[in-house]
Formats: sequence, C-alpha cells, structure tokens
Amino acid sequence: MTRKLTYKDGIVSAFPIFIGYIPISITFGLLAKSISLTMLDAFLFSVIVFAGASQFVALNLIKMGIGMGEIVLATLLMNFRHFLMSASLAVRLSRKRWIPIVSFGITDETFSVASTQDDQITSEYLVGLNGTAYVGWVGGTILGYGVGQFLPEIMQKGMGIALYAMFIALLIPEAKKSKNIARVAAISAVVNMLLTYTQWINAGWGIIISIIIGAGMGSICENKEENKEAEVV
Amino acid sequence: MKVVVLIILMGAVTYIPRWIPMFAIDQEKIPKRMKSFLSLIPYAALGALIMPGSIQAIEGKPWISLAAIIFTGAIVWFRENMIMTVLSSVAFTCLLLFLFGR
Repeated sequence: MTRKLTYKDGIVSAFPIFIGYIPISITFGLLAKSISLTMLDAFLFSVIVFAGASQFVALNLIKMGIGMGEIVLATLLMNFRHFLMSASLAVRLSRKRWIPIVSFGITDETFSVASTQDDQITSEYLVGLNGTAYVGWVGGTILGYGVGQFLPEIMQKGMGIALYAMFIALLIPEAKKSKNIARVAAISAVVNMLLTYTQWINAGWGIIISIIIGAGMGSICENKEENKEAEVV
Repeated sequence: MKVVVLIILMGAVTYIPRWIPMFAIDQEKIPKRMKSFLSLIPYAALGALIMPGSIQAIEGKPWISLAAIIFTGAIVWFRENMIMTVLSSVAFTCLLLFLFGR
C-alpha cells in the first residue's frame, strides 16, 4: 500500500525545479528588460503564462515585430504537449480537488517530478510542488529584471544544466527498473532528435509526436509482453 | 501592440490544454490500453525533453553540455539522490566553464 503524498512532500520535491527555474527566469527577466518591456509586463508574463520556452519565443517574436495572432498560435502549438501530460496525470490523481489551480501549474518539470513518484499523487501534493516551482519562476523573473546583470556569468550559465540533470535523475532509476520504460524514453529521444535535426517540423510538434510515438510503441510492447508472461509492471 | 492583451491570450491558450484533460477525464472510464499509453507518457516526455535539448543546455558549448550530461548520468547510476545529483552537476558544469569556457 503506497502512502498519500502531502503538501510538504510537494514542496520538498520541488527543490530541484526551484534551483533550475531561477537562472532561466532570471534570463527571462533580463531579456524582457533588454527589449524594453516594462517590469510589470515581464512579471505578468511569468504570472499568467508560466511556460518557459514559449515566453522566450514570444520575446523573440515581439522583438522581430511579429503580429499577435502568430505569437498566440505558436504558443498554443508549443504548449499543447501539456495536454498529454495533464491527461497522464489525471489518471493517476487519487482524489481530484482544486482542478483549476492544479492544472495551471503543469509544466514539463512539475509533471516529470510528480508522475515519477511511486506514492499516491494528491491535489495537495501538486499544489505544494507546482506552487513552489511557480514562486521560483515568478521570483526569478523579478530578480532578473531588477538585478540580473550583477550575477556572475559562469554561475548563471552553469545552472543551465540543472533542469536536465533533474530530468536525467528522474529517468535513469525508472529505466533501470523497467526495460519497457528505457525503451519508451529511447524511442522518443531518437524520434525527437531526428525531427529536430532534420527540421521537418517545428519544435512544438516535434515533442508531441515523439511522446505519442514513444508511449504508443511502449504500450504495444507492454501488451505483447503481458500476453507472453504473467505480469509486467 | 498591447503587450498585456498578448500575455492574456498566451495565458489562455497555455492554460486550456492543461486544464481540459484534468477536468474531463474520468479514471474509471478509461480503457486499459489507453491507461498503459498514458502511464508511459512521463518517460516518453523525459526522453524527448532530454534529447536533444540537453546538448544545448550551455549555449554555444555542446561539448561542455555533453560532458556534464555524461557526468550526471554516471552520478545517478550509482547514487540515486536527486538533490546531490543536481547540485554536483551544476558544480561540475561551472568548473568546466571556468576551465574551458572562454
């Protein structure tokens, strides 16, 4: 019987996300300032959108003078992968509460941390996890806008590895336990690399397609193995 | 262009896909096949998020990024400790940047 995760568990497991979000959101604040957005705009970006990559893309497009419709469409496409993540999380949530708040905080990072927990995911846990990550993101944005240029460059750059280190630390223990998980991750990594380097489609679609192919092939293999053996986790 | 309007629209198109599945999915009614697909999404997402993004983690320095990823992988393989992994990975990357980053 697994234990139910609490608020506190959420806050504790948000630590690596917090560490990882700070340098990125500081960079976002700095960039927003450099294209002469107001501090309020930069703040509102992080408060209302709360989606890293698309915020950077938006800054870039604003700078290039691209129209609003195109920026919004690009954002929709980039963030649509969260649809898949939200669906995956919904199936695991033990008792659904505060759905509007919980779903606001779904990012690549909070999703990855939450969904790789062995214990039971609760709304309380997600509020703690997503809330802490959110504080880091919004706080870092303000910090970056205000005093970002005073941070030592090496540290700022070096912290860019933090979120990837976290992703790797989430994946490897699971992949060691299950061949199918290792296979799923490898397939989607290879597909995403092919799509990225050949530039067939843009990055937003690339991640979505990679996830669908990876998880799809994994579930087919899982079903076959289940038929052969008695049980596969 | 009104930036605030843009922000609100971006917020809406980001929020809606995050919210719909949470709101609409009824666990009891999901077929087993679909459940297995959904339960594998985290690992597929991790694979696609790590590759090739991690190679560009340190802008303009793919070799440093790659070395840091291999280092991180080795640490996780032997010590499955999240906080230690992230902190030592950042420290290692800063060291590489200090030594070879200019």
